[in-house]
Amino acid sequence: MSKSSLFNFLNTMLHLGSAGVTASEPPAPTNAAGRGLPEFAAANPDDVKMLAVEHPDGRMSQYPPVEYWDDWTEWDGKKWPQKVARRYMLVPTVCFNCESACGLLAYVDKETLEIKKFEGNPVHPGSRGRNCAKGPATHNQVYDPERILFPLKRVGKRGEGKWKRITWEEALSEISEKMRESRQKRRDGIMYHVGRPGEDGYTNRCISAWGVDGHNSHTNICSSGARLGYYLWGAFDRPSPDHAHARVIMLISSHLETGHYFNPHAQRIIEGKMDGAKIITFDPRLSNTASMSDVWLPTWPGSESAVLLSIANYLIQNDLYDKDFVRKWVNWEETLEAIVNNQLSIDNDQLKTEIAAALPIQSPTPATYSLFDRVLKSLYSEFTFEMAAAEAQIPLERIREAAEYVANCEGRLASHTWRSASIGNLGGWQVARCLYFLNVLTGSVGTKGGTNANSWSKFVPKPFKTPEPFNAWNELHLPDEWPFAHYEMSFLLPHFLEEDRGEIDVYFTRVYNPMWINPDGFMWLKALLDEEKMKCHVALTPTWNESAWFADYVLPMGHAGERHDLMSQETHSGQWIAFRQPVRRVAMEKLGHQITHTFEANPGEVWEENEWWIELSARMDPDGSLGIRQWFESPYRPGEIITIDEYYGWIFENSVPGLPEAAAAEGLTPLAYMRKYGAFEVKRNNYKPYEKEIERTDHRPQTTDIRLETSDQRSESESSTHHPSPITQHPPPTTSHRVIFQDGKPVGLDVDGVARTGFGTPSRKLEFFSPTLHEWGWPEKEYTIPWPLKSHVHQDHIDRNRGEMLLLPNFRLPTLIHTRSANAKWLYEISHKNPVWMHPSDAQRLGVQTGDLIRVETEIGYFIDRVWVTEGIKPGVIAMSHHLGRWRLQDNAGIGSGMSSLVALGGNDQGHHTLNIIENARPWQTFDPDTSRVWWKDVGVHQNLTHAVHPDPLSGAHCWLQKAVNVRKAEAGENHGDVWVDTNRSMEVYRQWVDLTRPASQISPNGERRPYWLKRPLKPVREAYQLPDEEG
Amino acid sequence: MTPHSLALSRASGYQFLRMMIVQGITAETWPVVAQTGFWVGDPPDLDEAAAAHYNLFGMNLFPHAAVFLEEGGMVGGDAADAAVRLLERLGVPRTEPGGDHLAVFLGGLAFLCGAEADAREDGLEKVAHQMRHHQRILLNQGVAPWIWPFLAALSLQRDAFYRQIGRLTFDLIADHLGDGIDLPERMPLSLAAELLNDQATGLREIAGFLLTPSHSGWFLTREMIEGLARTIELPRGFGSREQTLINLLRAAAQYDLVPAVLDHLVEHLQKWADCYAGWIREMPILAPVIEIWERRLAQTHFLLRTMRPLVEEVSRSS
Repeated sequence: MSKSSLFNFLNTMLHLGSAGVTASEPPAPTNAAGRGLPEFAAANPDDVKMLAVEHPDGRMSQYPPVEYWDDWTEWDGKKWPQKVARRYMLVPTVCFNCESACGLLAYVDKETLEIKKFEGNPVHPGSRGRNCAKGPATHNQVYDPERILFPLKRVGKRGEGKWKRITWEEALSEISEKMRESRQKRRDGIMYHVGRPGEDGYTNRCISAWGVDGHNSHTNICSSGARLGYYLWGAFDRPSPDHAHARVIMLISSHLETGHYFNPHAQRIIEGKMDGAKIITFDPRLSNTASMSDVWLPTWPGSESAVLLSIANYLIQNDLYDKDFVRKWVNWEETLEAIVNNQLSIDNDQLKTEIAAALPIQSPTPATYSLFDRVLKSLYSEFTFEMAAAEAQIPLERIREAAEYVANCEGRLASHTWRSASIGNLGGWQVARCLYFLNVLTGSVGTKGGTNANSWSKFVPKPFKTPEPFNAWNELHLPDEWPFAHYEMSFLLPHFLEEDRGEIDVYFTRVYNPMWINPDGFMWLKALLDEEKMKCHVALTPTWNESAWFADYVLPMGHAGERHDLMSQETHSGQWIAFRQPVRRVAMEKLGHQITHTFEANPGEVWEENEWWIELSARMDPDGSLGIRQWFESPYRPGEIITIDEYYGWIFENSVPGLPEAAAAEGLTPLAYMRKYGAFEVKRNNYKPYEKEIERTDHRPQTTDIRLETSDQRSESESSTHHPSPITQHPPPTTSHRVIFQDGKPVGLDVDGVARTGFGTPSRKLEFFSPTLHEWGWPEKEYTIPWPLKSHVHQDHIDRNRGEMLLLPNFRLPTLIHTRSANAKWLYEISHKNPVWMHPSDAQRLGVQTGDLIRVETEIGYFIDRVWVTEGIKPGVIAMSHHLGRWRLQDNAGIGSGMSSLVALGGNDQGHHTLNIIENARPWQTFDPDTSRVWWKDVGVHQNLTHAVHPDPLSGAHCWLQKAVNVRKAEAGENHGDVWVDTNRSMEVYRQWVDLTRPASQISPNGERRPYWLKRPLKPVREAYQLPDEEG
Repeated sequence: MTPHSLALSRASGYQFLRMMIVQGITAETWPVVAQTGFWVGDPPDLDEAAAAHYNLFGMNLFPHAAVFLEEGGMVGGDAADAAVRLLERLGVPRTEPGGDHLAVFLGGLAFLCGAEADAREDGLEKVAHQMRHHQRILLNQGVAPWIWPFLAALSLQRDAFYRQIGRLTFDLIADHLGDGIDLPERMPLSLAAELLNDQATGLREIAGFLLTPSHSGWFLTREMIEGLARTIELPRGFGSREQTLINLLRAAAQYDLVPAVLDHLVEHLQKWADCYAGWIREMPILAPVIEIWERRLAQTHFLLRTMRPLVEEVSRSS
């Protein structure tokens, strides 16, 4: 540049003057009003120092110590390399992006009260200060430009997309009136359909208080298969592995990567691995977990039970199992009785004769136990490694290697299955049962490094007053066909409505997007549009979703840092509670602001369910005549409606052992203690609680059938009103005398002369043979004991020569949440598309390469997606993540443009439905500049629409695995994201599966709808269990 | 130009450059950029412009005095504190919180030039003189000690727009320093020979020397290291500049390509030497301050030149 250039520049600058080059103005108003990016105040940096904290185990970290949480100054990382200090109040809360309930620490700016970031809460016993990507991404959700900030009410037709803003008062008034009307007419007209509970018991208490059978969940598309398998063993429905201390970790899922308790488990799995544990993973897909495993078993889906039983057989035939544990804690005597009574068949008449001669067993000895050992050897001898290898299509040596690891686990086998095979296959519940069989055989039940019951590692405190169980049975939840359904048959709701089985007055969806997440979504669309059958739909959601678009009211409820909840999860062997808090409200109150309702402190008018339910319930019964209001009155101020501080204050003062003392030691109230720390460890290292000795009272009821009597008397809700029911006659079991009663209830059993707690089953033992299944119409061996059930996608059912393949449609990505990821920009930037995984051999056969479009035809329709050719999937299997494929029907409304495709729904009166992408994802303009930086277009394909429903006849779980009846390269005119479905076929497939059931009305041994001892989230009174007579 | 209009135009010029360093081209700054004529062609895509700005000043070339003056080549430390103290002493309001950011100095100069112009307009010659004196202090003590390797690095960037901004910054500052340049304080020189003679010297130490401007006289950006790796077709991995350079040197050793790496570095060094020499030719008055960086660059040249036969010998003997 010459002198003259500089001169010209200076002249230009002179001409422009200061007006042309004025420094930028401060950003627009901040998110205190919910409409902008947050702003933060600069602080005096003099006090800035990062403190290194040394933990008892020698680890060092830089978490701010608790004593600094009320006033913490640190450098602003986003300002790097500038040094800008910020001053925060650190408020603990709990993540709400899965059910792990990990601790978060919100950094709330002390001046602007904006949230700078969410980090881990180091004092949280479950997550221990660590989080997965979903925790910090809460910040995206709070400051999401597309979030719903105000209560909305539909204008025009359902789904038309026209809304008007209403006040909370209007929402409360209008909805409570509809609920009151319904409750006055009937007790099955209100339905609360929950996706993420994110809390323990609060909402269930409200539903109970309303006196309706109103709880509906997503569990039957999630975990109910595994839950039933576990429950039949020991009356607990989730495993709680002690990964950190295990010698062997066996996972049937991509657990380390993406499992249900991803973060708390993953960190402990790694600790276990670093301490020498071997990891065995069953997964047809090379997940991150599989890649980190010592043994990866890419089993053909549905063959898992066979492989597990081959390992069991190896232990049994080689006397490598813990016989003493099995003798003490398994119902082997009942099993022997079942053999003699022809309830369980074995191919050994000599052995059967010997067993008959040995019965009744008054005092078990090693000699009598040896009969059971021979039974096991006889029953499972067919499960050789060769048989399992052929069934699973994996190398025999890998199975042997896994078996040898298990044999040497020394009582430290941490195992887990949650979704995966248990929710994928017809009979998937047996996968959990077969897996836990290995725990039983190795004695790894509740041991250090073994696998606990969830209830031993989770603590749910009781509230100040518990409503009585209701007297109602909602046939839309638990119909006659599925007496063993472990949770409500939620995913069949549209099919039931289609069959005119009922109608709903007020339908709440809560953090739930049924049309998108369930199989057969077009059936849901039909149901949601039917104003005759679904009269009022209220969507309680922090974000837009496909189903909320078809709601009558859309009510914005807060994210993790915007609400109260109390949670606990079985993350390890110990018990803790964690307190989710609206962090801005907490900070504001600490700074002297008066807040009456949480929506005053949240962005816009975003509220929280806790306060909403209190206000709604009170309005539903203003004069107390329905008996509802009493449950929402303050225990401290009689007659007045309770506040949220009073609700949790009472729990912390009265229901959490050790918490009042811990609080007093710091001069705090228990509530203030929880507000300060956000978590409290109730119990550490809770191993083998079933061995706990109890006082023997022997007040045994005089009945002819102990099993049914004990079944009758055991209740999750421990109803105070007991109504005996007709009992069928069976020979009295010889083992029943070992059950110990107290006040008429079974509380334990005699083990080698010592009274111990035992398990929650009728026998108080782990039930290898399930008398309940036998009594309730499933007497065959493959049901009553751990045994493989032939999956609907067994290799015999998939003819690859005809182009058929197995579609594995439900694996998770570690960075996504089902529905709410679309409001977390960081998460979507990481993962946003769900191509079809395909093995190179299959790709070659079909003539496709990575990026090509393929057409996957299911039983009811087809979809078009891109293919990703990879050796990370088993030949014959194609796989897709089920997090993606979000869509919206209008531009600039609904889900953000960068996270969803703009689509058109179509169809005809023949039951044919289509979804076609009009426009892929694209950048869009908001106050957040990041939305204009969206660089991706493919946001996935909504494959669930094309899945037929597959209700397991026992557990009721939707068996997710699909038979892809044809897979081929897409042809001209077939476009990415195209979906076509015939809902007539949907109903046909549905009926085929219904035909597999054995309805209670046909098999119930006592005239009841289901075995009383089985779990229901909310148990009604015993009368409600009675099957209706012919007149209904 | 009158003293008043010169002060006024300098104030606007510094302010403009400050905005370019802090924000780059945005919806807000585009109208001004358009009028300067520095942008040729269609109006820029603002997203692309934001990304280019971030990539340059957020990921590659850090406009902080401490990066070029500190022993560790990192942000913060004594150099940053000294910058803050200097600005406070001169009564310059801090427009950005980071005291040693180039934008702070440019903002400070804009402020002082504006104040001079105001004083001249009001006939307050004494105040105007004082402001002029403050400008000289800020230029000589705050900017001149470190700006040259930064501007040289900027001149070697791919982005033509920011190369122009760099050149403009050089012209404005150099012209302004022409009002009076002070001899810089003695700045210690790191001797490459000492480093080479130290038995403890390894790849990490060599990389540290090359990446620290106060030792090496240049600034190797992340993209420069990537480009070098691409040219020689060697992996350099991911991570910090130090990590990637160590990876590159290690890979080069593995494939007997260290001489090639050294040759390319010498070739790159020549561009810096040409740049410094060219500036001195253009503005001889700058020689005392730019020669400091030339001497450092010479140490780097010595290091690279000495290493080459050593490496070849090791290679032959193995």
